[in-house]
Amino acid sequence: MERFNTKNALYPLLGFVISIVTLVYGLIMARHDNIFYFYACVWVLFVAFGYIRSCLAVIPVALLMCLTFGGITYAISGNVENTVVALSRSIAIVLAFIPGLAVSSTLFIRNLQQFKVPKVIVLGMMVALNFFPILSKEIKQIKQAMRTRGVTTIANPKVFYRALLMPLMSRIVNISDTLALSVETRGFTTDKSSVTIYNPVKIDLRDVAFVIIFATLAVLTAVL
Amino acid sequence: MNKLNIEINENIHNKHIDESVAVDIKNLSFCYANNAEVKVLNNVNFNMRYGNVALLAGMSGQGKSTLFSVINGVIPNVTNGNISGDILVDGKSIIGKSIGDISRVVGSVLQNADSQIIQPIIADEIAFGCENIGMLPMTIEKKIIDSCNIMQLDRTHKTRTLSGGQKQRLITATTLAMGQKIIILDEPLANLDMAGSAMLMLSLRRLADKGYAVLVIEHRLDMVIEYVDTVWNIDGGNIDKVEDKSKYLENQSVEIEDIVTEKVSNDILFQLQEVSYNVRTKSILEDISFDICKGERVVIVGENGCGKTTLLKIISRLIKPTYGRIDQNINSKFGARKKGCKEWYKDVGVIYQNPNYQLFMPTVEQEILFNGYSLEYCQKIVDMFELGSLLHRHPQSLSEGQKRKVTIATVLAARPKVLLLDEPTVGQDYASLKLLINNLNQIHIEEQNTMITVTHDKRCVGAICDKAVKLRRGIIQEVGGKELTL
Repeated sequence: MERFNTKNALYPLLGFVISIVTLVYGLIMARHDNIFYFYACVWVLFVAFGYIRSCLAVIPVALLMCLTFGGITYAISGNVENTVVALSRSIAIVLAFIPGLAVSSTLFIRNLQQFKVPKVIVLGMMVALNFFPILSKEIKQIKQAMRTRGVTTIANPKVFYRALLMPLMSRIVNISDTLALSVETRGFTTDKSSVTIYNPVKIDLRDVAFVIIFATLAVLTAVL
Repeated sequence: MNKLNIEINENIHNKHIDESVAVDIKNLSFCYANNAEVKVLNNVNFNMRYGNVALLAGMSGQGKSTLFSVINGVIPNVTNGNISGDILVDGKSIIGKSIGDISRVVGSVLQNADSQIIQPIIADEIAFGCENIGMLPMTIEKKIIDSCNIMQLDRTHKTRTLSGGQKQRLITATTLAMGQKIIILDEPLANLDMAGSAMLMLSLRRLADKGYAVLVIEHRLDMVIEYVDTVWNIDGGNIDKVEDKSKYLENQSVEIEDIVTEKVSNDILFQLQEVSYNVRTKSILEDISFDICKGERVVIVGENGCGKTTLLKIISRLIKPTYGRIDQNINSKFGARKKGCKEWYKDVGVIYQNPNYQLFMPTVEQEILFNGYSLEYCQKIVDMFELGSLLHRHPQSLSEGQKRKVTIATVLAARPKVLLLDEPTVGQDYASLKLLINNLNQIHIEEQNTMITVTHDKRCVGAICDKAVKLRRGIIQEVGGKELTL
């Protein structure tokens, strides 16, 4: 997800809230006449706030979802109005992903810490975020190692799975053991001892501006 | 190196270092809960002093890491067992204290830096420990600058793209930043090249000169020789202070002799032609061209992250070069650019940097027989590597050093014509190293195999080298003989 990071993302939790508001607002207002204008404006707003990469990345997904859900709705109901509503909801879902995609995991975690979210949850998230890249790297290594030991095909499934799973299990157990010990010896405890936050994330003027514009758009859409 | 700028503890006055006892272990005995008969530590007395660098050395599996875990509280907090005796850290007993509490006094650098990194950016990783002990953000900022200076890291770099050596330095930096006065390190040099090792040891030396107490657990004595004050030897659960330090170190770090005397043939086995390898836009290897003759022992040397392992993987056909080709004369059916198949790996034995990936059978015996050439040959290999007593053990239950020995034995048992070894000596104590190198050379004499080794280990590199290829930042700096390894 790193490639979607913007240099100047919104305040992480705000990004998260905007995602949810966009989604809920879109779902509720799906039948409103102006809703597509709202989507267009929000999309432009995101682009203006530096989310260009995520904005472009969601276009193919939006098309795919619109085709699928719109297509299914039209095939079942044959009703144009219902199809438009389905399209509208699909777009709302996709749009809600934009700030989510661009949230930097580091900032989001720092943000959670600032709001005194229990440390175990924060650490769990940190580890989980790292885990998938590690896992894919491990599997790649193991597959190479399997070839060096002559296990190249699945022809002998028993040996194949052994050669894949045994090292994988041992590595995962090993990595999690080391990781657990490492964070503990680096002073991480689950009790309520005092913790400081280096470099906390702060709300700035951009964030406020974004909220004002976003809220105005939402109100205008509903009123006009 | 002269840029080193260590100002971690401002309160210590260089001239009056108080060499008082930092860690004092008295009559300590310990056995693991699952193996109550064997005392891993037997009535041990040991101490660390402020202002000193201490070295704990000894064979693999003698209890070095156990002592390490006792000092940082992992034993008995995480690992169960019977413990008796007293452990005083900074004058206070740590028995009954949590790891978190002990970590405020003792900084530990664990093995396997690779699995310990949790943050995406270097500065945040360093800040992690400091945040946990409630350091003020301004102080953290200063600590990040200091420890990045000492370990020569760029604070803005992404952690995921670091090389093994850089990761090791980062994990060391995270501990240094926390500022504890007692620092213990478990095999910190395992993945570091010469320059990296010297840099780390020098930094530790300077910390000690500022009043820190440092304990290094290490096999590579040749690298730590000049930096330590006291040496402790661990053997069969007993720890003794070594009085004649220089003699002990000399005995353990003499370069191993090369027993191979025969001359190499002139038949070319591999011909590398302008081999390059890129990952996205980053060039890892560039224009690598050299020949490897039949029966030659080639060593690839170079600093951390210069592309040694990548080159070995390309030769072993685990990955394909982006440009260039490698002609081989092992067998014409393998072609020049085909993917490595089952037959290929029968002729080309590959020993991985990390043995955990290559072991998967339920017992060591089955592991060795899996691709074994014949029963007799396997038996011979078992005897050579002294694995008799481990035959019925589960490979994953062995120590790292033993696992590595088993991996090497399993690959050799298949009687390959070409042997590719990636850092085969990591985690081997001197006796095992000697056995390993002599066995490799013995088999080389008998089988006339071709060996290509990647290693940093100064103790043995000369003993397995006919030709040395020196890499620097992905390009060949020099190709020559043994003299390049010095």
